[in-house]
Amino acid sequence: VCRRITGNDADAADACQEAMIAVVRGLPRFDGRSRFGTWVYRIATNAALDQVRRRGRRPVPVDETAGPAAASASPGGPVDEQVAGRVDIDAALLRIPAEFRAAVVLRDLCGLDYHEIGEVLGVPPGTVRSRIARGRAALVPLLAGNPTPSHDRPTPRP
Amino acid sequence: MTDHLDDEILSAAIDGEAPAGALDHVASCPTCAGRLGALRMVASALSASTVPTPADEAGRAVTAALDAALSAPAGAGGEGPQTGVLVALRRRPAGLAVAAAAAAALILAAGITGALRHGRSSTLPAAEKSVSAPSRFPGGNGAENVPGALGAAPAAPAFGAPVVTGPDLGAQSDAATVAGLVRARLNSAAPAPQSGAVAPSSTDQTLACAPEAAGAAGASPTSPLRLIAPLQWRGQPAVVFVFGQPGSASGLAGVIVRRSDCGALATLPL
Repeated sequence: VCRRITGNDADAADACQEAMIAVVRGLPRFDGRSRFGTWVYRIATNAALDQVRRRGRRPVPVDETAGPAAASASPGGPVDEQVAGRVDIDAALLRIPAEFRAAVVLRDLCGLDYHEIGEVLGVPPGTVRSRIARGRAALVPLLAGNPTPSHDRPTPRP
Repeated sequence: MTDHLDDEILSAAIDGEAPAGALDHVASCPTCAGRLGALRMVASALSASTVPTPADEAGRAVTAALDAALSAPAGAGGEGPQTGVLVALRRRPAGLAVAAAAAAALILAAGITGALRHGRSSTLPAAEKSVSAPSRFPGGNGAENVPGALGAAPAAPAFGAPVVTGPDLGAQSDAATVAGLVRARLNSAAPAPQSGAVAPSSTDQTLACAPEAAGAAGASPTSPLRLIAPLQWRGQPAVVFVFGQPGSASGLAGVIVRRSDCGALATLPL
């Protein structure tokens, strides 16, 4: 979680340590209202987001040498495998807003359901659903090789 | 005019969170099917991606850090063994790998299960608040956001308090005798600034047993740990834990636990 949200090893290490400290300090006060894993995810996510905020990080330009994935993907394999193998996931994640990034990471990397993510982020499940959708939508062009993220796809609804 | 599904529904469908029947349209709409495929590709790519895992040497580094922290002097600045662990980890000798491994090691070492057995109040865990940022999410719960967090978090009440340690209590078989030794050691501990603690020797007491010991001693989950000392209890390697317990007659609660598995062997008549 820390690695994917912060996007680099150094910040992730700091966030991880702070999360660990918070976990150790908070263990006696863990009240069991939520699952322990959810509680730890919440601490780790907040620590990572704190780290991002402290660093004042902004979306980092994608290293052009890292992509585009789809354009260079060779045929013959599942597209997701090709993408996962070629694209710099971190670079793409760093180009979307942190609140979307956290939701997507918790869903797609950690496998939490919407309710659990809501607990972790302190938002309603509907907000989680929206953030995940917007995060994934923003990642589509990035993982497909389009360097311009589209955070809000024009929805072709009436 | 089109009537395609929006990203939110399509994305939720990937996670099985879409309303029933929402995907009926996809079967007959190449546009929505294509969009669903694109979103699914993103989800799959993220799921399939890997983050570097801690290297093999991380475990050794963590062990070394823990050993160093547990045997480090605790008197300076009121820093107890638990804090010493944190300080050692802050040195981060091998970067993220060690930090991650240390987190896992400490969580295990802290005896999560023991902590989980304790109090079940309905208050929000302080640690959750402690690492929050102000107004992080526009739609978030602002009430949980407390800036500055880690530095301002209260010291861990259960085993972050000053601890008296010292030489091995020797081979013992009588709880009253051990209790007497404990009282003597506590009474003879030279007060240190702000803490009343003395620097520990290089005993190999196992802080990991602290939560288990607190439960066995009948101490509250927030009781400060006052003393740790190794001994041989009826032939078994063991550790004495004494907690501050304001509700008891002596203000203390003590227990002897087996070092290997933290199992309670005897309570101390303090």
